[in-house]
Amino acid sequence: MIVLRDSEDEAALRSALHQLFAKYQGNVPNPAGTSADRAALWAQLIEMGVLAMAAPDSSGDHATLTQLCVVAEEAGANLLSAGLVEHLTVARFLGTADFEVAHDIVSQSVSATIALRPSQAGCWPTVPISATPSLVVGVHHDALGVLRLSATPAGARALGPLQVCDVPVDENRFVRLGPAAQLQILLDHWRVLSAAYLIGASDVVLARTVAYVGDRHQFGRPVGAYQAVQHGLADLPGMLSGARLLVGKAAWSVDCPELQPANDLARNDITDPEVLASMALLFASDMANSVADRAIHYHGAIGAAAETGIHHFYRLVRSLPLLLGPISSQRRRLADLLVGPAWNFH
Amino acid sequence: MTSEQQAFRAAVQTAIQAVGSDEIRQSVIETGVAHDARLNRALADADLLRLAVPGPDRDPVLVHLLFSEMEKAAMPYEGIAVNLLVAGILESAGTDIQRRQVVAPMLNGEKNICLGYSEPDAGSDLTRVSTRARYDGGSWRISGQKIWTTLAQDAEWMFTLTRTDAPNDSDASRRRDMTMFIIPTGSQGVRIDPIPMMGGERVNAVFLDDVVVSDDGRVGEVNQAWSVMTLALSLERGVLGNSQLAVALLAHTVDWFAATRNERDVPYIDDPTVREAIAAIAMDNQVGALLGLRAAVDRDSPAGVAGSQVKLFVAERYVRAARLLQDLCGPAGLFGQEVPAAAANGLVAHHVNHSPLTRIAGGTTEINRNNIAERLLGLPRAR
Repeated sequence: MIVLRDSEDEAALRSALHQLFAKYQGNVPNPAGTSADRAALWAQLIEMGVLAMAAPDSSGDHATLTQLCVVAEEAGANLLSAGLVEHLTVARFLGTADFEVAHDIVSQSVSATIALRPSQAGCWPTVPISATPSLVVGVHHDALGVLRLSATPAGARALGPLQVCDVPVDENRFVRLGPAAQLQILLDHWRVLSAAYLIGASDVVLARTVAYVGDRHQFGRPVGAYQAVQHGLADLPGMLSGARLLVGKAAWSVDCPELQPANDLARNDITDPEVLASMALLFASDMANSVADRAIHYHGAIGAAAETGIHHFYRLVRSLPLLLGPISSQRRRLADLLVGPAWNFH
Repeated sequence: MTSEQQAFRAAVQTAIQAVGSDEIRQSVIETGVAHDARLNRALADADLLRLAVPGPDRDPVLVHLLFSEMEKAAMPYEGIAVNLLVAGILESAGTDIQRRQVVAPMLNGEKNICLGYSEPDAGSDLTRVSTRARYDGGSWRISGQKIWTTLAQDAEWMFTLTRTDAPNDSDASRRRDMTMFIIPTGSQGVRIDPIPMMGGERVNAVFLDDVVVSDDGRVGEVNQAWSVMTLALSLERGVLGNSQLAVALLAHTVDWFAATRNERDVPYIDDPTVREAIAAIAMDNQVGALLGLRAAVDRDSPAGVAGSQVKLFVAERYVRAARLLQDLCGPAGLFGQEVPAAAANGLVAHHVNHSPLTRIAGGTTEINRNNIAERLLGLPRAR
């Protein structure tokens, strides 16, 4: 049976990261305006070995996906960490397959990202580059490969705390790593870690909203004393816990490859990592959307004010899941995995 | 899972398979009674009821496994849930006589108990109970009315919340002045009238007219029913079922979608909207199961909060799932099993009509939201 709570190691990791991310308060206020804070946070992440932990150490061991979920969830509390999920995803993939380039990540503290969709007309569309990566892993011409960037590509756009840009694939620098189908492994790990990131972010925003409605008075009472507000908030902790449990189960299914993957709807017995990864991101997105919606609304107008910073979270929640494609396509892909592909609609 | 838990789950599955589950499922829909004596007896004979009595020193995972296996098999478990809950209460707060005369025959699968909490004027607010118990010459005389009493017709006893003192107008006083009794339903002065519900379920109104109960039937101290109720809440914790309500519904409807063509002569299962709905409900079903499991093992959070989260999430999503599937089925989703074209042999229509009650019975959505807002989020008491 899956483990529902942190092991001792995971708890120690969580506590260390919790302090680190709290120190640079990035969820709010404005992450875009604090590049010095951002640089300081990333310097600390390198110093603590967080960037290297997904790749194998000298004895060949690397972090489990469950441990990386702890990192991603804690990082979600601080949006200056945007880009960490992509980096961990790529580092883990390169490290477990023992690719040469994985050593650069460890020895040179290089940061990496993932092109979530295959190249179109020689260009990877909407690549997350929030952490100014030097390596991009993606699919080009039916092969999964890695591209070293000599400079950040032009045309970067901000989506709240995320930075994205189209990355032209230079044929001469593109190094083939394996068949294109291997991208799915990367994407599944990205889904699980992104879900964990959304959970960490949602947790902070929910706590902030609960504190606000306890403090803000109207008609002589805290607005949090009104049942209409209480009930809107009371739906959220169960969704948040549910998302966290689903992420934990998905990570566990990846970390235990010896398990026979099951997809039994009739017994609600699902242990297939692909299915669980897909569910984890879709459910966490749904939850984070609910949290964002109520957080902004229960703050009143101040919740929509740029200075308050909740809009960074809102933009994150709206943007991150869509980088993979339309939500409806993601749900249909999940249905394909659960009940087999459809034959009449394509 | 430990080997004991695995063996327990396998034994539950064996017992369910042995009693012929199709026939039982059918009977629940036809009679509206969510209890089956054969299933109850089969679980008792395999000693599984005794192992699943909830309590502070018991393994809550066994309780969770018993009910989640019954839910997955769409077996009726409401009667078993009440029997085990009361058995757990009496193990802690009952007397030796009660454990011998009530708990033992329940765990043998011979007799059942029902819960006499709600009254016409006391639903979510049980401090408003007005069924009166008076001590008179060595025994108690009880008069009043209980309502929405599930399975009273099959129960040997009713676990009954009564008022034993006239309260003043404070919450504390109303809570203080109540006492819990086990009333034999065969006693003189007990009348049980059926109340049919919209999903075909049978519940009851129970009238108590000067019913004489010996002091042996009292549970806990006089005027201390609230501590018995608090104990019940801590034992219930969301583990006695209700975490997988839409699982059988989804599986049967998916089979129907695969076997049936829509008005464009395309299999329903190939319609992208249908596929998205299947994905969304399957996700909610996974989350419900995980929240249920957590409620079983999590002893850290404030009383009832984990259970409130399961109940709130699962009941609300179950209502949504049933209606979404019915919308997708079209008219075939409207009919019961007596109509051959009915979607999933009438299950879709059944669940649409049954689901609204699940977010009322055993703690309404609103009461659960109050509980989460106050005890988990720490917001001011709104009542």
